Amino acid sequence: MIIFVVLVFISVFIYEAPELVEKEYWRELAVFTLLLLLSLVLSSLLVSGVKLPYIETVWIELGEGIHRVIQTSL
Amino acid sequence: MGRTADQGGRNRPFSKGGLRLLMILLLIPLLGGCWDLRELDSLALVFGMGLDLGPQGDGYRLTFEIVRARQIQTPGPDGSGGGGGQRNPYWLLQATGPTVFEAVRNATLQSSRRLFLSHTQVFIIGEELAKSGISPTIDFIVRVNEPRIVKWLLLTADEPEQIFAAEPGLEQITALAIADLIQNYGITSKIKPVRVVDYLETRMHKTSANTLPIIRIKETTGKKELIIDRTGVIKGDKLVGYLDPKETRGLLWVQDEVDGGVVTVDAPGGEGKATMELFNADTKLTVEGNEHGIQVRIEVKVRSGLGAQTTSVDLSTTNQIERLEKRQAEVIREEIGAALTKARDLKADIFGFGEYLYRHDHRRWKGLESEWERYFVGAEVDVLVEVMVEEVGLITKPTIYRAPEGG
Amino acid sequence: MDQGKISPWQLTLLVMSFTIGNWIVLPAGTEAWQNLWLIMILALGEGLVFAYLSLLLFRRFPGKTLFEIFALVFGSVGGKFLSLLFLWFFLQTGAAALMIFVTLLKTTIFTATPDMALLVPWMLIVIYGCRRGIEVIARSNEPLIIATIFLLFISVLLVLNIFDPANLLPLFNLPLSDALWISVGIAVFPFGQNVLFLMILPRVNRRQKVTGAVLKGMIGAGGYLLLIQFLTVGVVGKVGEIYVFPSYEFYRMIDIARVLTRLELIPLLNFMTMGFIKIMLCLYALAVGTAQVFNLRTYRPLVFPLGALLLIAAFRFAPSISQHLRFVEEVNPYFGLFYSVFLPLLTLGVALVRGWLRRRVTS
Repeated sequence: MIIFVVLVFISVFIYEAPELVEKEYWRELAVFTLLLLLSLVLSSLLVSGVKLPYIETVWIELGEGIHRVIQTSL
Repeated sequence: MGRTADQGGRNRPFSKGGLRLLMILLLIPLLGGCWDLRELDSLALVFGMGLDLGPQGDGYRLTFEIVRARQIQTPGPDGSGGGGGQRNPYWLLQATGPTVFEAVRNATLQSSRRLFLSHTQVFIIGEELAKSGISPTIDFIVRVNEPRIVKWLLLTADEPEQIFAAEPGLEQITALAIADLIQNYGITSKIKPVRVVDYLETRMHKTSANTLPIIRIKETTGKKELIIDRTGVIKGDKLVGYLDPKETRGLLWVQDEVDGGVVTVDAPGGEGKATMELFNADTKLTVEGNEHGIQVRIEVKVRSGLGAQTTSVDLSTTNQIERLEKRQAEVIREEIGAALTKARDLKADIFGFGEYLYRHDHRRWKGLESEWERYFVGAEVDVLVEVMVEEVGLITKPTIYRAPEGG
Repeated sequence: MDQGKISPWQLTLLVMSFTIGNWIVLPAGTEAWQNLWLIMILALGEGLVFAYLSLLLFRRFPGKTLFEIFALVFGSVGGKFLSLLFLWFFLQTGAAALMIFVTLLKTTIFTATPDMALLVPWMLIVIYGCRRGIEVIARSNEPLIIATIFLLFISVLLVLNIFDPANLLPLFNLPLSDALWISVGIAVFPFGQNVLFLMILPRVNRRQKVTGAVLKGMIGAGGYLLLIQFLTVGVVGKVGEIYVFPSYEFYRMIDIARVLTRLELIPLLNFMTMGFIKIMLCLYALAVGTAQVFNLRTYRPLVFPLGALLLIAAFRFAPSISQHLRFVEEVNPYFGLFYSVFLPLLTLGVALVRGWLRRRVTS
């Protein structure tokens, strides 16, 4: 599964990069590569079964934390 | 920023068409169809579902009426039934389990095909189960996406499997026969049809009591046939009492659900009866309350016509019609009264007076809600019935009419 | 950067689709149930006021996207910081829509299909549309929103026989404070999410018509959602409260003479089309925004990696639909108030003060 994901990302890179190189859009290429690597890492983690935190859970727990702080300080 | 209009895709080192093709190829396995593809020949179509207490008094015993689609045939010209009509057109399957859902899944242990519940027309609950609570039973029906909540809910004192095994009359599938039976309630207005969603709706109003039609087996000439002639009263999710057909219609009058039917009265000015057909009935209910009690006003307006008479008196005169109207109103008042008395005995607000008050005066309602039972039993009920007899059928004078002597 | 232009009318339709988005299947504030449609009128009013205030920003800085305005008002660093905050908002909005999309399909028709198989092709189409620019999004939106509205009118006709006005009572049986809080929640979601359009407004070809176009779109969407809610209450009744997707149940109950039944495909279709546009707009704003944060000349190469991020965010958005409901009820109002009311107003305020100061200095 991870191999498949990596293959997809590589093919996207091959699809996008040449045009950027040709136009000498180096900045764009850098940001693109960075983002691509970020999502590659995250999706590899996801497919290999690493338990990334749930966005909502983080917010709810943050909210509860703030609530507790407010309550104890009152 | 935004200086160069890049149109994308020009001067690519390799062809765009090739990539598109690749993309399409990638999509093919994904767009092939649903994962849980189910064809008709791999499904067991359930048309009726019976729910009863499990064998040891806990859990559930379910009965499924599954259609053998190939056995359903229109009879050939010789009336023998075309094709392979030798086998029963339906198959009764039973399964047990600690919850309804598990029982449904356990049924597949005996069935070569996966049970498919989307076409279930009737849910029949055994009275034993109804006495211990109905909501836990129908939770599955409401929660899962296959069964539909607009289908009929019934009770039975017999075993649900016997109901499904009974003679389906003109139909081939018992469940369909039962569904039609209920749908035709307007011909008599002595059955109160209840869908799963109606049951839930009433259940959600804390003070209202539910009713469910009760189906039973009637043996005629050695054949087991089906009849719906009682209504169960369900208070707080448990079966507590019964209404007979007369009381059931009383209930329907109050709830403005009388669709038709007949009313038989003693014919005025002579022995014999006259049966009136109801064309149209309209009920207006108003409930008002204060801390001393509640006042209920039930106004029924009925349009009817003479359908049959057994007396030789001519009932089609203005005078007689007026008397017919009065008597008919009396009968309707009696029916409503009977339902009221029964409901008061059971302390069950089957009419939804509380619901009405909640809807129209929720501030007042809040004060009365906690002791609603007491207010309901002590309610002052005014019943006003206005009957218009508008038709006398195709004839005016009765068929056994004899002209007065010397006339 | 995207050079496409859309007309004010296309903007109106886009605002409608975006607002209808996922609300059509998963309304918030269902505890108010039969009062919800009344509260929605209030919420629409509040939402229009908020939107108007945000649009003042665009009037003051015509032709600039929200991120460019941030940079102008708060300077480079402050502007970047606020822009990053907003990028998170776009990501979260899109991920929520995507998550609901999967949950709905999973609980209703595709019960056994793995999430991946539903999401990946979907996301590929979204990415494709996004790369094509706002013009294409706006044009593909036109038939979809028209079909959605058409289906609403059809459904009004279909439910006439099962609509029970008694289900709409009692009204006003809810403490005013509760009603107000719910209305604020609705004013920021779905109406407040339109703050995203501040990224798209510069692409409209007649700037003076922008304010009217956005407000018109919001009113149209508000009317649409109100009518759906109204019909759902009237048809499903109090039972609708216990359903996760009430409008789906509403379509399941349609029954015309036992022939026209099983119309649950209608809400799925509505949601798939409207959700599609919403997710696409979120990804578009995300990509254009990221490009502006890094001063890039094109946003196109970013669409795929950001789309993949959106997908991951959707997968790890909520562990269950019940937690999502809790999130919408408890956290989302604060979240929305921060993004669609506080930040635009702060920017507007700072911009006004700065302009005033500058005028004093020069005079």
